[in-house]
Amino acid sequence: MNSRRGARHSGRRARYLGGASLVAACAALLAIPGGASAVAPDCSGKLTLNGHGEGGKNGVDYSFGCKVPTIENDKADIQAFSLVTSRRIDYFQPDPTVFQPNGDPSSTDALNCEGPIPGPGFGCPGAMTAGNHVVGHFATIGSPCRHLERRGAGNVVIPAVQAWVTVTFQDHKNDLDPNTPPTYYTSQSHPYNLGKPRGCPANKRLRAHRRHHRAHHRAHRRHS
Amino acid sequence: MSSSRMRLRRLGRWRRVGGAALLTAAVVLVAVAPGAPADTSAKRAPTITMSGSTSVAPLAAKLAQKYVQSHNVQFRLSQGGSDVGISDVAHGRVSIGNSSRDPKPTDPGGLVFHKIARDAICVVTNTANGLPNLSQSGVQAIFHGSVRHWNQVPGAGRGSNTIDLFVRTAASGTQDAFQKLFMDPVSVNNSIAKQLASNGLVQQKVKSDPDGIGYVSLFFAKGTHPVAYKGVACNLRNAKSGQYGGVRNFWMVTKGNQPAAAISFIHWVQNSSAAQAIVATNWVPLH
Repeated sequence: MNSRRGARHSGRRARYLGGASLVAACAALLAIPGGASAVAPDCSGKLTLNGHGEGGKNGVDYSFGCKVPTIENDKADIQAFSLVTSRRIDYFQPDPTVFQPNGDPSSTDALNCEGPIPGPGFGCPGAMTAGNHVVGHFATIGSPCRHLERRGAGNVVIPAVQAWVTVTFQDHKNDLDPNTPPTYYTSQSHPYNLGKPRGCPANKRLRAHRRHHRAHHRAHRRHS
Repeated sequence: MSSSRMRLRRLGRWRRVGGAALLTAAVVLVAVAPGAPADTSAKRAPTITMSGSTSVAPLAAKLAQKYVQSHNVQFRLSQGGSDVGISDVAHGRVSIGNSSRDPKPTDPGGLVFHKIARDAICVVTNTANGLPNLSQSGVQAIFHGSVRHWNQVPGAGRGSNTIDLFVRTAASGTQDAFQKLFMDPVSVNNSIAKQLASNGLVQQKVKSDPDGIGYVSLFFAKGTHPVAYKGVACNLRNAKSGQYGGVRNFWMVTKGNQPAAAISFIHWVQNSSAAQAIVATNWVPLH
């Protein structure tokens, strides 16, 4: 009896450990680029499906902006960003547009993107004032939405693309001492998740596949 | 089999699941880290590196996207301006230097210029200034600085406001082509103009400044007011028909006829109907 209870408890513990290790690994994933400073920017953005852009039918628009804490009227600006995707891409817009908070294009900010084609993402050095937001475009190899792909004898569910953005920004040293002028250096933020593309249509094949999979699973359980 | 042994077996399975989850997360961790290759098979494909013109970059990105769909090759695209591309290829830093200007006698020896397309340069103003047309002498007067106020320009709707000039830096092929096609024999007055490093920046400046005027590749004229030149509108149709006068060449520059992968790509750009169809979307194809 005791050994049974012990085994049950250890089983639960092992399950918790499995889950906890996954969460810990994901947390480590977000903490990779280290060096994020006390004045780290606060960035957010999104992905939107756009099959009519320069990237063709698999195109996705991305947009994001960052707020960087200001120190004594001195703005800490974005000097570059890198965008990494969960699926390989074969197009990125070389010249994304930077907009001001009021929606007008910025007259001072510009970013020029570079990277591999095909590849896991791209980097865009340039200048972007904190508070402004950037809008660009990329295209995935295959549909950017969740879909079924035929592999060998069966179908495989390919998840929707996700993107993470990391920004390089101007940081300050000695900012607390009013007699010493601040020293500027660059820091990297942690990756911000832009999520999955909005506007993906409902996939009938995928729904049928899921229904079939569930029915198969139920039948298997009944049988066993 | 006793039930306790079955539970122990299940426990072992859960440990394996926990381990597998950790391993999966670690793999994701490595795969998503910036710069990490997502697919090792891509390493075996030859890499064609390109740098240079910001005007050519949008076309190069679209051509590369199409080319990788049918060829085992990988690209690495960066920018910097035509002079940067030509310098990079001459020093062996890239396979192809993208240039939006013609060859110069001062360019390093041993370079081969491959023409891939033609492109219109548009003089652009803010949409609040619907300037209908500029003659060559009008363009020269504005960009040389002999005319400084909009009321001196017939058809401009900006009163006596000062003209804000936006031009490109010396490394730009668009600057070189603009000088040859629109300005010769006078030159752009850089002391009164704001020099910018890319087409995108000129576009953004003009879009946000009602008194601004600049020049960009036709691809970057969106959101601005393209001014007709010598009575001909700056659009793709007039550029293709040869009516519009401000059309220049796009080049891909290699060092000799190397590397082979880059030369094959350039031949595909010049000769395949798929590539020239991409060119025709926003630029003037060769055929």
